[in-house]
Amino acid sequence: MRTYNTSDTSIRLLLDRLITSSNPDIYRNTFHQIGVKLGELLKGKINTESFPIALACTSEDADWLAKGIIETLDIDVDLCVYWSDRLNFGKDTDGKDLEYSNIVKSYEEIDDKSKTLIITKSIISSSCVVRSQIMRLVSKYKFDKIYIVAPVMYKEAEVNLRQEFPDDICRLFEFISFAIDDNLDDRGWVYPGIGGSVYERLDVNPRLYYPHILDSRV
Amino acid sequence: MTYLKNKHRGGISAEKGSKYESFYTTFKVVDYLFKTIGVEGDPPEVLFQSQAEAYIDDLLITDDTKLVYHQIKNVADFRWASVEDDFRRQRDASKRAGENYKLVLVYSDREFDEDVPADLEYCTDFSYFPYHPAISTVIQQSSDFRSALKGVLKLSNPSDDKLYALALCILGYWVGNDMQKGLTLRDFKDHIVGNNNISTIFDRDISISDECLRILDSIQGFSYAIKGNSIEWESSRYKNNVTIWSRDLEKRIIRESPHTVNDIVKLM
Repeated sequence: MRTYNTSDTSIRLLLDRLITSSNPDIYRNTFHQIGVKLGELLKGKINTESFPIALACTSEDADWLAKGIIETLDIDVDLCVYWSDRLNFGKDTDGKDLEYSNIVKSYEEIDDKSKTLIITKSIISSSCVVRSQIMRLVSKYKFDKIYIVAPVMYKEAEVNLRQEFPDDICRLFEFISFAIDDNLDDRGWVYPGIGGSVYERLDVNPRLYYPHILDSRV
Repeated sequence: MTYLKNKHRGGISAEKGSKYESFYTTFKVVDYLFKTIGVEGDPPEVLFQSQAEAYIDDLLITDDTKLVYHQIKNVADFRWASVEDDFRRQRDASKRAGENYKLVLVYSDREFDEDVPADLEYCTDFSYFPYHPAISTVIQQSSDFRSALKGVLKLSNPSDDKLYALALCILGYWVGNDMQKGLTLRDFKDHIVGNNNISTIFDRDISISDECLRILDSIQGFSYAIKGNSIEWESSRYKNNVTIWSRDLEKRIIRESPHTVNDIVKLM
């Protein structure tokens, strides 16, 4: 079952389109439009005290979701893009998978002055990917605020992610999403989520894809 | 003997939910690796066991010279009275066996200030170790754990996600094996070194074949520097990139033999 965090029907339509559209171009464009909507929401939260701002995302989210956010914020944002491999180290004593997202490649503009971190991802489920990104960044930089932003999140994503960090880091977190889903399908994917595998739907190989947004950032 | 067997059965069932014990064991393995050899060289003979047939059985560490019995407690309002008899039985059993031994109580309450019972003091240590349901947070809370992970990784300033990966690798291996039979330090070392998953987080100097270097050097406008296990690279169009080097990447570069920046970027 899905719970919406927005009454904006245009946003709900965009989320529906992620599920129904089968065309990668439409899917990409929809993510861009959702990025714009998330950017509008973020714009209402940040102020001059928030600067400088860094935004971190995966390679597959950079050209559409993250780009929509950055364009809408319309300010200088330090961009970090990460390529990861998902690893499994077995199980914990409670039977939960010990999953880890290993960052194997990175593009980072960030410097120690950054005060605000925006972590964005197409969907947050196990939190494995954003966990590694946050761990990497908070161990190097000191932020005043961390926005964790995704169009759709799994119901346990926030609790699970908060559990992985000490209180002084958790206090910085603010989760922003348009919908919370509480179902997983047979493959363990959030349902309806974003309509399946984001890589297949975007038609990108995340390991090899080099986002175009980085071309223009020199 | 009956007491010991009953205690043992109860222990096995309690152990199932015991993250605290497994996190502490993970810490001890890392600490041993750090203080002995890291992940290189020949490890000393050290055996880690849980639920071994003993009165103090949460963790037994046996090395060339000593047996260290750990009772690991993560309960509210712990009192020595609840375990002191087991400590005495273990002391007496170890004495009878002529062991060089040490007993350790590990507890998760930093404020615990009850003294070790006087008659056990000479053979018993108390050790505080923090508890949190996520090992990532335990790493943050225990400076010893953190230092040991850093020491094993041999990175000058590793990010927390790398420390976490090493801890998960050891934890998963420990939990997935027969803890009663135990694992040696060599088992852990071999698992870490032989685990392709984890190998990329170590900052080992990489060697790139001449053939691959020739290809990289021949690409106009592409510059790179090898730093530890990574390659930092850029062109006039693409800056600030770091890629962890791997044999797979090297094979791909040799196979594709890229000639332009655009071609190499796709591979990197």
